[in-house]
Amino acid sequence: MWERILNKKIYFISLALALFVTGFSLPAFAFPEYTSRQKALKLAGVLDHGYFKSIKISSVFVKNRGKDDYYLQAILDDGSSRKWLINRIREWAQTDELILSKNRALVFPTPESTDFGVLDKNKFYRIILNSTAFVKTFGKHDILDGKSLVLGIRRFRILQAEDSKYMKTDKFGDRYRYVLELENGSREFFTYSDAFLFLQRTALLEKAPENVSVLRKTFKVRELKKIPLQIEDELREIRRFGIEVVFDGPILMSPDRFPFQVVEQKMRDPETGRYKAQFFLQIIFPNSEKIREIPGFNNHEYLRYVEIDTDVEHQKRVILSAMVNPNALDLPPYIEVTDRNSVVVNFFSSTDQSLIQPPDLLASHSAGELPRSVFTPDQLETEFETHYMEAVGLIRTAQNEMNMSVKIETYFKALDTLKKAALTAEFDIQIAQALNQRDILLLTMPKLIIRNVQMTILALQLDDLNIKPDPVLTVKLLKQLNHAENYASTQDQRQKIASLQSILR
Amino acid sequence: MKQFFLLLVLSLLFLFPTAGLSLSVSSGHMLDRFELIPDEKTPFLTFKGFFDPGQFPHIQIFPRNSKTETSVLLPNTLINSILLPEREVTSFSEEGIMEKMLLEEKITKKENGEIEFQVTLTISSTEEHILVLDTEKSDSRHLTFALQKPVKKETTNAQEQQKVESIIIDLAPPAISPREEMLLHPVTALMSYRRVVQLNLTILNASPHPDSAQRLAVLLDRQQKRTIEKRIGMKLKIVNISSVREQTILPKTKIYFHANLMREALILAQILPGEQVIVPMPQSRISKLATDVEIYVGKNFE
Repeated sequence: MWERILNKKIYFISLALALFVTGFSLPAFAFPEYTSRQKALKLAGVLDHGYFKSIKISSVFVKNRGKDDYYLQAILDDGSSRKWLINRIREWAQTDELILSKNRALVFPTPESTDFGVLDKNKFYRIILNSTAFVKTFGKHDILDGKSLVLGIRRFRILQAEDSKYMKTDKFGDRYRYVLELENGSREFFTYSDAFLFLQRTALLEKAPENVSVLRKTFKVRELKKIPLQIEDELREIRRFGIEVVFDGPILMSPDRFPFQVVEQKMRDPETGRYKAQFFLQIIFPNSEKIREIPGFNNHEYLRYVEIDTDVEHQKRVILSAMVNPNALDLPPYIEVTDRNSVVVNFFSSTDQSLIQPPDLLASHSAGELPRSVFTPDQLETEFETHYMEAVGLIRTAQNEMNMSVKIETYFKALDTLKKAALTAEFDIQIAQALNQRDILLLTMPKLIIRNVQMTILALQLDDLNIKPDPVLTVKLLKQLNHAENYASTQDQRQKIASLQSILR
Repeated sequence: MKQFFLLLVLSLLFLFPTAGLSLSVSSGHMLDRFELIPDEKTPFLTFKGFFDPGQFPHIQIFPRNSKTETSVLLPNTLINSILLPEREVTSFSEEGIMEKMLLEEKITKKENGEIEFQVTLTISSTEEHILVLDTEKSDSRHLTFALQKPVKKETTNAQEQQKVESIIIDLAPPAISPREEMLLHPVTALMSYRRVVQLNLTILNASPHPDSAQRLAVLLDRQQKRTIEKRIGMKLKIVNISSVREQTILPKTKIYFHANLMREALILAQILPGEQVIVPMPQSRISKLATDVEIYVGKNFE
């Protein structure tokens, strides 16, 4: 047996396994042991006269291992001298084994970086106790990543033994120390590092600025309403429908605070028993609550099982969720905050597949990086941009216009503006988009003009059979028909135009 | 081999007492003369003499009450009175940073009979400075201090005010320019974006398994590339594969997409194994135009 144990192969396999297990158990991201000279010097100054495991620190010196790897050497009051690596200093600071003088705390707010800060706790208490509002900024990978909400503060407390997060740590190993109870009913637990960062980014406001709404209570969902399908863009045959989420009071937030996401879920098919991927479109409502049952809908256009639910992972959030076929979702939803205490989520549908096809644009085949928007990234409004935005504005105005004649005239103006834009374009993408937009308009206009002339003639006939048509109106309609004649795309359109021209003449 | 070990053991036996002896020997510094090296950015004050670099860490520098005065405690140091007889030096150039330097030598006898000697330097300058021991310019014959000009505090009152104002601007309802308004609405955005012919993809590992990003890249690039390209109608290029810092572990794989590329992100999600979350690129990362879609591989990826 011993021969077998001492067999070289077994020994090497065991060693490899042991090393593998050890390596695997180590954290994937280790905190650095050494730092730069400058930081080490600064850190030594900070640690001076502090306490290490209840022993006073007499002095701290900077030492180095290589050219750029610095660490500290501490001399304690009991006469002992210790080598302090930076990762160990961080660990001791996290577990209160290393305490700074003057009621300060050492923090390493950036994970994996030896950048450190000193939290002056007394200063922090004075600020937080005088604060009335807290600026909550959402972290990375939260759906509200980088966005902020201003929440009213109810009470600040230091964590006690009876608190749920007492002595518990966050994912970086920092202990939770404080809790901030907010007026909307949520609670923020935070560490010394968080407190340090709050002070850094002025997250605690003594008095909220006048133009900023402080959220003092949650928005409570009252009901869900369907907004029926209607035409949004007749040029591309895009239709819009929506869901209105009605709340108990005015919504004091801008639409960008209501983000959306699509979540894939593997669900068991009740018939086959096999797992099938389903996609759910979710719109997130922060600072909101559902306090009673809100009926949803089983179907609304391409949405299935529309319902509003409480977010179980985040405080005071509700989610409007609907099952969707991902292939039907060509355009993202668009959120509007209304003055009716509601938020409208607009969805778009289109049958025109050319919307989502890449253009056959020669320039786009070049190897170099090309701009992806007609707008220049430097935010400078060029002559092209001015004309192009005016054209888009005119198109949108025309689309919302009920009077067909005015609508066609507005489209004509848009065509002129698009020409100006094309003449001032500086990049291929700009001229391509301007011409593309023009072509879409030219394709649709004969249809609109035919309908307008037909309706006008019909209206005149209905009014009085013997009345002579207004010559100005006739000239205007004939002019429109001439334009339509030039760009008519089908034989049917040409025949209709010829017939209408003969009637008018 | 045996001979080698024997030699090694003997060498170690020889070395240890030598090292021990060298540590126990009391040594120190001797200041012979000094020199001020002017420099616009950082002037240097260099002492020449004999120094023990091993004791440099014991040199203590502490600012005095005035920001233009600093004291330096040099333990185990003596002044060469012949070469450096003055104890108060004021003969500095008027244009230079130094105004005055006091040298105080203190020799005391301890209760156990040991002699302790130290020198305290007090440096006065014409303007604010931070005195730092420059270990790179110091050796057994030189001891150099850099007189650094203080970096202006990051948060002066005016800057603090500015910071608060910028926060208020951030918190207030955003002022949306006509351009942004146009890009925000999906229909008007359609009129402004160019459909791309190549989808640039970044794959980042946000799972506990170190090779997840790599495995997903292989899956996309070698096994599913044609299917994806056919469905999205554009070329697929993986421009970056790496790990996420900050110990981020995501429970589900996240696909971040730039404006106008939601459909492509949804197609990727349908092809990838497991469950995905598809999210628009956050405002903070929207300027990263080199990639169209970023995939953060979560721990659900197997």
